[in-house]
Amino acid sequence: MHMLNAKNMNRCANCLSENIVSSVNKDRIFYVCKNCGMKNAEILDSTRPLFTLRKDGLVCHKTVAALVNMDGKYLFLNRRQFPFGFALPTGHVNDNETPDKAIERELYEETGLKLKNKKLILNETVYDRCKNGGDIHEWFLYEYKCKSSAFIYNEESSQAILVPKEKLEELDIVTSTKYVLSRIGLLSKVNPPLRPLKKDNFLSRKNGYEKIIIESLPVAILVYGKSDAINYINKAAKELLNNFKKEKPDNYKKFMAMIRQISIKCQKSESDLSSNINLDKDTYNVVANPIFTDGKIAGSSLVINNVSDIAQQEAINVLSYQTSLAVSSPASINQIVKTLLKQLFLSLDIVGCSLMTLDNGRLKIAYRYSNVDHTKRKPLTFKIGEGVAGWVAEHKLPLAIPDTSNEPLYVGPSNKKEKSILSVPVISNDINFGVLNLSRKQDHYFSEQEIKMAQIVANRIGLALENNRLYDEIKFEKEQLNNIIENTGEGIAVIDSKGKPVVWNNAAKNITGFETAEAYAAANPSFRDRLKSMLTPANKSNRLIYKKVQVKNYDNQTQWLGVTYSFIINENHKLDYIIIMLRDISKETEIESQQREFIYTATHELRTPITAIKGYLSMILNGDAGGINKVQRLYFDRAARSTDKLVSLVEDLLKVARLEENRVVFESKPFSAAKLIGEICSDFKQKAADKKIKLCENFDEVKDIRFIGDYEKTKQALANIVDNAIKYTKKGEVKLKMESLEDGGRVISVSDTGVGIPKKDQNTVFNKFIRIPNPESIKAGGTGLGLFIVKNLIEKQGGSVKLESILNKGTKISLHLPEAK
Amino acid sequence: MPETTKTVSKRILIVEDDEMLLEMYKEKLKLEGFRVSTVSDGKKALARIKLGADLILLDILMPGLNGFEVLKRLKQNPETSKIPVIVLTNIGGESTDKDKKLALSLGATDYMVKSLNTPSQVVEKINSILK
Repeated sequence: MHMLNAKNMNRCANCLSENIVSSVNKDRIFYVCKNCGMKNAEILDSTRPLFTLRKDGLVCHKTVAALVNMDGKYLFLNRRQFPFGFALPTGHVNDNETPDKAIERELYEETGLKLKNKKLILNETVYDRCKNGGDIHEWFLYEYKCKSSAFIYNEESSQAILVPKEKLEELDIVTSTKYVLSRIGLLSKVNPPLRPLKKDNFLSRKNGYEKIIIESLPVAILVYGKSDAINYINKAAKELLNNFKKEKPDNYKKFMAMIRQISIKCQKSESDLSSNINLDKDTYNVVANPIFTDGKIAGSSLVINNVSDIAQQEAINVLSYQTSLAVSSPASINQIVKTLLKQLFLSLDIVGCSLMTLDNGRLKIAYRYSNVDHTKRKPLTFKIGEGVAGWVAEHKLPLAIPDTSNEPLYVGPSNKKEKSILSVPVISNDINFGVLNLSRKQDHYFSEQEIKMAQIVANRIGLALENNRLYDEIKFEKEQLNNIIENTGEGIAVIDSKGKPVVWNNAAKNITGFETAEAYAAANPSFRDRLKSMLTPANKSNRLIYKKVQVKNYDNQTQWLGVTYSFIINENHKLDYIIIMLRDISKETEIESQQREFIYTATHELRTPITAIKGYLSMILNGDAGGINKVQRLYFDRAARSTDKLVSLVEDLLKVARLEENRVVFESKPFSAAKLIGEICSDFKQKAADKKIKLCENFDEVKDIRFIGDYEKTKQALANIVDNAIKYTKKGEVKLKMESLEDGGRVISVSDTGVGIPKKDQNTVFNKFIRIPNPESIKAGGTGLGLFIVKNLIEKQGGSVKLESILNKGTKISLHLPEAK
Repeated sequence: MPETTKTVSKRILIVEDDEMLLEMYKEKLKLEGFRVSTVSDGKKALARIKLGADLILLDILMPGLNGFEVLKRLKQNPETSKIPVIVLTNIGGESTDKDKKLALSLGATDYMVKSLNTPSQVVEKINSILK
C-alpha cells in the first residue's frame, strides 16, 4: 500500500507519483508524469497540505481521498484514480447545505458528474486481474486512468465510497454497500434487511467486490461460522496472527481463545459487541457483528484493531497527570523524586530507573527505584562525557542503547540486569540537573512511547528539583533578612495596612519589655490611636515622621522613646505598610532635662547677685546714698552698664534654653504690622538719636496689613534686629520698611548703612554665639545669641528670615511672616 | 530724706529669702518713706501678715512654702485677700511667661523680674498700685 505522507512534494495529480519532469515548449512549461504518462499533468500544489486534521474531521485536498482504518491510520489516495477509498465528507459544506448535498456538489464540481441512480460500474479488465488476489490498488495506481468517478454516500456511517464511474460492474450498490460496511463494523445496525445470500458462500463472484475490499483493508477481519470455525480471514488478520505465532506463541493461543469467546458471545446474543483485549502492553479492540442468513444467526464477523497507540497515548496522559500531581504535592523533594521514579517504573516494563545528579561536574546516583538489590554494588560516578550517562549530560539529548554488550560508550560491569538502557537528560530552566536512566534485562529497542514517558518524568523531576532549589534560595534569603531584622539594635515594628503587626523584633521587645506589639499597644492607647490616624487612606505620605513620645514600658515605668514612622506606598498609591523604628531615648531625655534644669537654676542663681549689683548701683546713681562726684558718677555708670550686659546675657541664655526645648508657646493671632513697626520705632528712637542715626519708618503699601503670629515675640525679634542695626551702624540710617515680594508675599525689612557682614559669614551669622570679628562688634558688645533667637522666634511662627549684606555698605534683614487674609 | 506730710506711710511686707536682696529692698523702701517689715520664708509670711500690711512684695523660690502657695493662701483668706501682692522674683521671664501667668491667675496684682528692674522701678510700681 502506498502511504502518502503529508510532506509537501510535487506529485502528479492523477496518479500521485512523484516522478514528474518538466518540459518547455514554446515558452511554456508543462509537466509530464513519468508514471502514468499524463501530459500537462497537474501538479499537486506543494504548498497546500494534502490533508488537515480538523476538529470536525479530516479535510483533504480535493484531489485526494482518504482511507481511514479502524486504528486511526490514514491512507491517502488519488481520488480520481482510486476506486476504493473511504472518504470522509471532504471539502467544504456551504451554508444551507447538508453533507450529502455537499458531496454531490463537490463531485459535480470536480468531475462534472452527477450521481445516477447511485449505480457504479466496475472495470472488467481490472477486475479480472484482481480476482485471483493481488493488490488491486497497485494496479489501479499504475494503470488506471480514470478521470471521473462517483460517490456512494452512506448516510448511517457518514462514509462514502468513491469509485470510478465508467466501466464498473453494475451492482445493487445500496444493499451491497451496507453489507460491506456492516462486515467491517462500520455499521452498527443493518437496516433495511439484507438480500439473502447464497449459503455459506457469501463471498461469491458477485460479491467479489466485497472480498477485494475486505482483503485489502488494513484492518484485521475474521469471520466465524456457526461452528466456531474460522470461515474467512483476511490478509491483515493473517499477518497479525502470524506475528503472534512468531514472537509470542503463548500470546497467540491466548488471543485466539479470547476472540473465539467474543465470537461465541456475539452469536449467542445476536448483537454487536465491542471489547478490548490487553496482551502485554498492547491493546486490541475487537468489534463483533452477527451475520444472519434467512433471519437466523449464521456466524459473526470480527474486526480487530490494534489500539495500542491509543492505549499508549492514554498511558502517557495518565503518567503525565500523575507526575504533575506528584510534583505539586507538599511532600519533601526526596519523596517527590522517589514517587516520580516509582510512577515511571510502574508504567514501563523496566528493571529499574535511577536519577543521577550533577555535582561538581560529576554524575552521581542520587535516587533509585528498582526491583533489584543494589546495595552491594559500589555506586558509579561519571564525569561529563564519560559513559552513557555522561554523554547524555554533555549533549543534553536522550540516548537509547538496545544492547549494552555491543555498545562502546557503555561503561560498567557486564550486567545481566542492564542489557538495554535508556538515558534522558534532566533539565529545567536551562539548568542541567543530571540524567535519568532506565534499564531492561533484555536487549530492547526503546519505543517512541517509552522514550516519551521517560522524558515526561525527567521533565517533572527537573521541575521538582528546580522548585526545590528556588525554594531553598528564597528560604535562605528570607532567613537572612529575618536575622538582620531580629538582631539589629533598633527596635523595628511593621504594621500592615489593616493595622495588624507583622514584625516586632527582638530589639523592640527588649526596649519596651513587651513580647508582642499588641501588648505594647494595649498598655499605650495613645500609640494605638496615633497608628490609627496614620492608617487612614488619606495618608499618602512619603516622609519620615519623628516623634518623641512618653510611654509605659512593661514594668509600668515611663520611658521616653524616639519613634520614627515611615510609610511604604505601593504603585497604586495605597498604603501597604507602616515601618516603625523605636529607640529608647530615656537617657538622652534625662540628660537633656538635667541640662535644662541646670540652666534654669544657673540663670536663677546668676540673677540674684546681678540684682543686688544692679540695685545698689542704681540706688547710688539715684542719690539714695548721698551725693556723688562726677568721677564717681562716671565710674558707677560704667559699672551699671556692664551689669546691664550681664543681665542681657543671662536673659538670652534663658531664652535660648527655652526655645531649644520647645517650651515656649507661640500664639497665633492677627496683629497689625503698622502697630508693630510703630512701637519699635518709638522704642528705639532715643537710642538711634543718641548715635545720631536716622531711624525711619516707611510704608510703601497700605497700612492695614496684618500678620498672623505672636505679636510679643515678633516684636522681640524685630527689636533685636533693629538693635543690631543701630549697634553696627556708625553713621547713616536704619530704615524700617514694609515690602512686597515678587510672589506676592510681604516682609518687614530693616536696612542699615552699617559695617555689613562678609559673604563667608552670612550663613553662620544666625548660629549661636557667633559674632563677626570687627571693630564695631567689639564696641557694640552683645552675646552672639541675638540673631539665633531672632531666627528661632520667626521660624517657629512659620515665617522666615533673609539676610542681604555688602561689606562696609550695609545690611538688610527681611522678616517674612504669614499674612492674615 | 523725703518726708510724707499728709499721707500715713504705707506698710510693705517683703517676703524674700536672700539676705542681700532683702536688705537692699528694705533700704530703698525706707528711703522712700515706707514702713517695712521683712520675713525670709513663706510660713513666717503667713504669720506676719496677721499684723496687716498695705502691700506685699513676694518672692517665689523660697525654702519651705514657695511663693505660689503663699499667694494662694493669702487670696483664699478673706482677711488677707484684698492686700495687693507684687510677685517679685528671679524665675521666669517677663512678657507672656507661664510663671507670670500663674502668678496673675492666682491673684497677684503684678509680676516683676528682680534682675530686670531697678529698685526705683519697683518703688514706682508700688506707688502706682497704692494710689
